[in-house]
Amino acid sequence: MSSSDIFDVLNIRPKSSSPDAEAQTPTPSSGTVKHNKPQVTGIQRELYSLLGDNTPTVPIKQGNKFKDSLNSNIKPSPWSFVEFEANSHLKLRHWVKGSKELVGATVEPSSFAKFNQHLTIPSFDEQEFQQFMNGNNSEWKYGEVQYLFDLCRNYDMKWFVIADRFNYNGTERKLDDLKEMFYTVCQWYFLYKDPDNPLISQLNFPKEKELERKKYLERLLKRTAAEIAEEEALIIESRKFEMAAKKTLQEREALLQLLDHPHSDKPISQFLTSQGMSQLYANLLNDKNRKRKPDSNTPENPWMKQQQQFAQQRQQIQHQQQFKQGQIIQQQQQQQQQQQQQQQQKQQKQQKPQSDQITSKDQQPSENIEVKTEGQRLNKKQKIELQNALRRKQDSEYAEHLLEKFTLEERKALGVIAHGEKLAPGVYLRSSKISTYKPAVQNKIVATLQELGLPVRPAMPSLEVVQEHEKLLKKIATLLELKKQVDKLTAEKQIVK
Amino acid sequence: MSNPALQVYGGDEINAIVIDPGSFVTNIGYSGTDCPQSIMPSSYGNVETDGDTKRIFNEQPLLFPRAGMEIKPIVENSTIVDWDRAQEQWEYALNTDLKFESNKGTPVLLTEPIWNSEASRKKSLEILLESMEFEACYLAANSSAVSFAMGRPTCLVVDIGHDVSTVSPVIDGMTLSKSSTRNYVAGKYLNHLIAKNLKPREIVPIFQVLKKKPDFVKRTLSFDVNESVINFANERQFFQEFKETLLHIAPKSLSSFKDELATQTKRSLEAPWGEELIFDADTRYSFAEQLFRPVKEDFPEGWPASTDGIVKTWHNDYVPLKRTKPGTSTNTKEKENTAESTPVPASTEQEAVDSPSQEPNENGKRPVENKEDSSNNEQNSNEIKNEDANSNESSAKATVPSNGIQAKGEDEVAGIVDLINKSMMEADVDLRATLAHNVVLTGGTSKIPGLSDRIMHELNKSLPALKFRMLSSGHLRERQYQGWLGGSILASLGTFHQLWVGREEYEEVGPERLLKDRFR
Repeated sequence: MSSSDIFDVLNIRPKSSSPDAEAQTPTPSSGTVKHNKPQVTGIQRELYSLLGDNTPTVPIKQGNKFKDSLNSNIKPSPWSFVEFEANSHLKLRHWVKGSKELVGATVEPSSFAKFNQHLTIPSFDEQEFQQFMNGNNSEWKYGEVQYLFDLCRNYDMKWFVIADRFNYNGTERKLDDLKEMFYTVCQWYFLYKDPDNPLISQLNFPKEKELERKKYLERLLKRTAAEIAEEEALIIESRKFEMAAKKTLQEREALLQLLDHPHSDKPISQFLTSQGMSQLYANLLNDKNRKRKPDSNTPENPWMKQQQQFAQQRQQIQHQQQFKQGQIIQQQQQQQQQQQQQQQQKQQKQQKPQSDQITSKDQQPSENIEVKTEGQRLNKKQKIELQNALRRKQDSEYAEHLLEKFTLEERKALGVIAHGEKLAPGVYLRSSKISTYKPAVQNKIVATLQELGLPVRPAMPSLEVVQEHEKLLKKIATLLELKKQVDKLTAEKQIVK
Repeated sequence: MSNPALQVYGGDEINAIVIDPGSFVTNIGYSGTDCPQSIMPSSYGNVETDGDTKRIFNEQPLLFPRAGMEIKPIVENSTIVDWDRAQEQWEYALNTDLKFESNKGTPVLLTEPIWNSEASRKKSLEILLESMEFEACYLAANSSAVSFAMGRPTCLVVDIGHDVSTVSPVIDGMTLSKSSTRNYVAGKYLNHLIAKNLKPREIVPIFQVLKKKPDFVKRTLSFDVNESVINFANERQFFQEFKETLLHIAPKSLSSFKDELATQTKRSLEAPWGEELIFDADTRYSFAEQLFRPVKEDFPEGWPASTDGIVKTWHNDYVPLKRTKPGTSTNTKEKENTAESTPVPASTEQEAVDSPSQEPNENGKRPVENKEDSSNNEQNSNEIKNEDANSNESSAKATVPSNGIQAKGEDEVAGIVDLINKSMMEADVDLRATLAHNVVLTGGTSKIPGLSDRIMHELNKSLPALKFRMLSSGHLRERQYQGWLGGSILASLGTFHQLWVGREEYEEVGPERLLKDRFR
């Protein structure tokens, strides 16, 4: 549906007024597209319009048309070569639009004459000159002054040109002398003619200063290449200093802001609630992130560093050994290692049963990874995984090291545990971390618990209670799974029978 | 102006004619067009057959030898030396190429060099307004016209043409005369150098070639061919081609660029006499190198050479008041009665007219003096100069004397960069930065590749504190008629109307006052 269709429906013809004529003649307004269309009527036409007038997917350039052929029927507008006044002394002819009778009747001044503007420069005769100068000027005669003023008038005070053209009876003068003379004479002239003129003070030409300025400029332009290079280097240096100063200022400001937060003189009551506290924490964290870029060089943990070194050394030794010994020995070694590890695990289990699950979990993947490193076929993802695993392992080792000095009882009393998991930041309740299962399984577990007369959540979720609860849940889940499998098998058995 | 849209452009068509006589060609055309309609050599052929003299102005027939034909110059060193033939040539161009029947009602703009003499200027006014009956005329300095063509009212025009190289500062479209410089090291001098290089060979113009292959056979003509005809043909054919195809300019002084040149391949040119002329890069580059460091021994006898490039211009032509002749005194009195009376030193009009041929020579050419005495020193000075060049290259800190111009011995000839330096230093301190930033390069010889870069390099070395910018028309051919183009623009401007000097004014005021007051 295009506008032309609407026009068509409403019987609106831009040019031809009679609606009868439209059936035969294509509309002149719809342009070249419709021009070539065959005439169709009735339903056919509507079908056709589905194809027609739709914008094509590929833009088709329509402007590729030849220039309109010269229409000789249009009467050309007349131009006439008419006389005009070019300047006060001269009449020339130029081309003007309009017939000769209309335009050529009078000789008009040039339309550009209005641009011919000159400065008004005082003029005086010799008597006047002597009067207002009062014999103040000994060097310049009237004639030369007059010559200078004429030049100024002629060249519109373009001093460079005036100084270039100045040649009075063979004497040539410097530009600044000419300027000085002109302005002093002007000053005297106005003092005599119009003493109240506010411009008089501006007609002062300080020749000495001007000469000095030119001397400096000349010296500036006479610098050698080395001097210029040195200057540029100095400029760059000074820029650096400026930048550095700016940066330190900014940093200081940021620091001050940090210190300001929270304002020490304000009441702290709003931060006493846990909500207020967390808000404050978030604020501080934000500030830190925004104002100061996180310091990459956080204080190093000496113990971690040592651990890393050890780990590296161990790896190196392992590699060396691997290269030296054959694969069999390697396997043996691995077995030995595994045995050792198992022993270690056992020891650990005995020592600290809290962390056993986690550590064993950690060790297993790391072992896998070690195996993979031998194959030297690691993609990026695997590498990251390896790094993460290593870090976690180190962390857990570190935590264990920290807890070494505590006895089991102490740990229990203090509620301290080492776990290798990456914990989500923030405070949470232990009971909320009780593991859940798939809804179907969970329902069954809940039913079983109710059968046993236990609450869904332990009434007192202490660490041990929760751990036991977890074990119980796990066992229930496995038993349920087993029961499901047994049911399935018995059902199948019956079907087979 | 009826159409307001045109006022922005500021043009107003008055069918003016622009004439630009150069040392190589004379360009004549309608103002407001972008290239001259008639381009003729600035020489004419005088054919004398049985007491009947015929003159030829077109280039093609001049290249064809005829019995009794001699080719004589109309323009030398940009100044017109043969006014009668100049008028004849212009009239011929106007009639045949521009289809003018009468010059009545037509204004004409003539370009002139900055060193045009007073007498020559008067003569041109006389010829244009009285003899050729133009309605109005204007004399524009060539550099001013170039500045208009480039659209830069303030610039330093460096024009390297056929006879002369000129450097002139233009301020607000007006050429400064005192700081203009020039020398005679340009296209014609290059021709001479090339001829010298090919010395044992005779340079045969095409019309004397009968057969090139397998062996060269020279055509013998039944009549004596004047030497000027041979020279003319060579200049426009062989030398032109040679310069266009082989010349090049090193980006830094040739002595320091030698190593890089050694690796370049040789180039050849087939001479009209069938010989394959082969040049290695070193020789090729050495020709145009002389634009920068002219070697005095290479100058032919009587070639004008100036050490400082200082030009005496019409603005500086001082004629003492004492010598006023009684005949002209009435004129000056009349002038003083007019409103804008100026105590112009009444110059000796009649004296000047009496000796028109001497004037340009006095002002223009500076004959080499003491040629014999200096021949011993030449060798030494040349060596010193080479050393200078080397030391300049090697040490970044070029020793710049107090006036900023590189020290030159008495016998040294100023190169194009020396001219620019000199011109810059002569100009006011306040102008230097602007001029340096607008260096306009024009003229046919400036088309030699590498010229612009080299000038830039040398200028940066000699005046490191200034920031130079070279401007030149991207249209190469345009550089050969940029003076004409500027004139064409000027004459078609509506605001230019006020500057036309009409015949009435000429008769009323007289050429003396007109030249002082009306032509800037």
